[in-house]
Amino acid sequence: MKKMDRQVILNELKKVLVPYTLNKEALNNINEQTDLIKDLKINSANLVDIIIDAENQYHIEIDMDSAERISNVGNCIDVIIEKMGSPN
Amino acid sequence: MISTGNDIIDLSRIDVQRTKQERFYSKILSQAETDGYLTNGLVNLPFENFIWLLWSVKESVYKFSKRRFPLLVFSPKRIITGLISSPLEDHLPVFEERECENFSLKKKDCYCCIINTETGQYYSRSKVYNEIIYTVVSETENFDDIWWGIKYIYDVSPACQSESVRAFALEKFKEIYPNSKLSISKSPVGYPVLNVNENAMKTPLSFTHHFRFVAYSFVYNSTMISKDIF
Repeated sequence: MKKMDRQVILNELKKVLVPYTLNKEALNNINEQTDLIKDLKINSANLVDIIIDAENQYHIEIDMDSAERISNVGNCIDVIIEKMGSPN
Repeated sequence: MISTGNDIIDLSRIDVQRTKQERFYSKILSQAETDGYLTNGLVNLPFENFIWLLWSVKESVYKFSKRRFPLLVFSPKRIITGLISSPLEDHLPVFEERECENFSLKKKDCYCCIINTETGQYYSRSKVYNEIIYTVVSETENFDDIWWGIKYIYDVSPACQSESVRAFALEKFKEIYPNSKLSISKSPVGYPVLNVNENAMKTPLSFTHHFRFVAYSFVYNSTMISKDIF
């Protein structure tokens, strides 16, 4: 699977995050440093939902060891690119 | 270093169908933990509530441990829950009040669990209502010094959740520190810190919120001030 541009993934990720984000203004200004919990005010109870939605979006599997690395948008893009490049 | 950790789940916000999918819960629970639903005889609890009960326990343990290990990352499958006991009356009560505080955390009134992690062993007490799941964690089986409260809020914006839980806890602290100037700030790690007359206290304090509910827990007994623990 070819690697996608980080900006493309960020824009797609933004759509994934919409239903879980309470701070819509921060979502409009999202960048790779945006923290999912501190900035977007996403409840930790939704983190598994986001992982599953990202898996569906990119047809990948994100194991929990990888999921542990996800705290901001940039980490999330790193994991998605890594998993897209590795055989499932 | 004493600590505390609590967590609340607003059950109106969970996706019941997704929660019951193995793909979902296998990211949170080990096979042995999942099997515990049957082996611990918890079938009076809806399966989705069982999953979120254990999530709540694990999140509370993480918050408890984070105070001691600031670099800790939340990893639910590294927090291993053991035997879970049910309250004597295991029907789901309705959360009738707008707020409740310090009802019994005795074993007979709660779902109780022993938890093991790389950072130590912990004990949890959880209250399961029709609307919410609430958990408090301790490192001993004695929960007598743990104060806690749950409040229903109408404005679910992040700012209001934050403001509401602080005001709720401060109301309780006013009973302990009358005639003092009280405030709550945030530590660099992210946990709340009680300030009394602008002095940061060591009182372990934990906040949690999920949609319509906010809650606090802290550890306090009357000897703590005299022993200068604070």
